[in-house]
Amino acid sequence: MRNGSVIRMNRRETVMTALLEIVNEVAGPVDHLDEDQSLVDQLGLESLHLARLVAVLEMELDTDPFTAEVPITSVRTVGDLLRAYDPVVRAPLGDPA
Amino acid sequence: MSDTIDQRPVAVVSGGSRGLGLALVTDFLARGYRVETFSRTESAELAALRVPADPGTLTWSAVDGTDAEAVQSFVAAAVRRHRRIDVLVNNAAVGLEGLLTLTSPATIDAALRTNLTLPILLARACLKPMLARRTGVVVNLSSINALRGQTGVAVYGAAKAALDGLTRGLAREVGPAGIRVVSVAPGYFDSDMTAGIGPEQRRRIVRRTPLGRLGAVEDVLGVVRFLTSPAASFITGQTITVDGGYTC
Ligand SMILES: NC(=O)c1ccc[n+]([C@@H]2O[C@H](COP(=O)([O-])OP(=O)(O)OC[C@H]3O[C@@H](n4cnc5c(N)ncnc54)[C@H](OP(=O)(O)O)[C@@H]3O)[C@@H](O)[C@H]2O)c1
Repeated sequence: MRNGSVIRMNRRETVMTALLEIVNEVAGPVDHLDEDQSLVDQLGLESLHLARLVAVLEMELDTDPFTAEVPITSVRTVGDLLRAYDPVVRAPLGDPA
Repeated sequence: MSDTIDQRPVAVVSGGSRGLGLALVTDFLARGYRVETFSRTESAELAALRVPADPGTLTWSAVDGTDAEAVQSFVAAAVRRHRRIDVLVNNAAVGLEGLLTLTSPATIDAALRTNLTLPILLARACLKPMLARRTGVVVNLSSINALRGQTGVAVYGAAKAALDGLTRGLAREVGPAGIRVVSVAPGYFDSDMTAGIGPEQRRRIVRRTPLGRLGAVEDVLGVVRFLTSPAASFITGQTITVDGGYTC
């Protein structure tokens, strides 16, 4: 169980780091993101940025939650993204557009 | 060697066992690429290209391109091995000849899976490591049958025309990430695929070709080499015809 929570934390960190890197590039220097920030409206990410983020994370984590389990359209906020990669909590996500 | 990162670029070539695919594998190796290829059966020619001292240079897998899961696993293994893909050449395809009404739905389905679904799935999988590194080139092997109607190859031509549509759509989609997508549309060139062309049809093709001969694998190879080189760094979303003027 302990091991499981370490994996969860590491994953969370990996997702955050990859996201921060792209946000930095798009919106300029940022060192902190809030879970309720909107990826598109507030952080200015476009769909190709999200595609790149998912690609980077697939290489790092060897998983792409959007291939089957989760529709990418349901990811609106930083928190939605973190939950999509969380091995324990894959739900609940916001409603698809 | 083991703790330094291998800087050689990586090319994925579908259908590397024979014909143009085999020539592409040979050429990418000569250009210093590591190559990942698959086909349903291996050939002695491809096996001879293996480098026993450095098995990561050329990897061949037995994959039937109509098996979507096997295709996915093939690319995943390639990405795990090399951590990058620089070039994808969608080369594998099957010829399909016959009047549409005399072709069975099962035959049509199998041909579309190899000639259209397979390149789409390979592009989907290979674009990911390209997006991650923000560089890459996808080359789709189309055909002059995508550009001109011809009796007996309507389904083959339809799949190739669809592939050109994929080229244009993807070029827009991934261009902003520094990735280029191009089609090469060869005329008839000698390979197993065209081995069935009889002497009379051959003469007719030569007569209609301004440059007065059938194509050779090398003619197509040279264009793929150019398109995957920095010399072509401002070309994307186009179909380059290599047919000796047949369609002009
Ligand atoms: N030859 C021409 O005149 C001509 C003209 C225009 C365009 N083209 C295009 O150029 C490309 C190369 O043609 P080519 O003449 O070199 O063809 P080829 O000699 O028939 O070789 C086709 C290659 O694709 C592989 N392949 C076919 N079906 C496959 C499947 N289901 N799964 C995995 N691999 C498969 C074959 O290996 P296995 O059979 O072992 O699987 C072989 O390595 C094709 O896209 C073709 O449509 C050719």
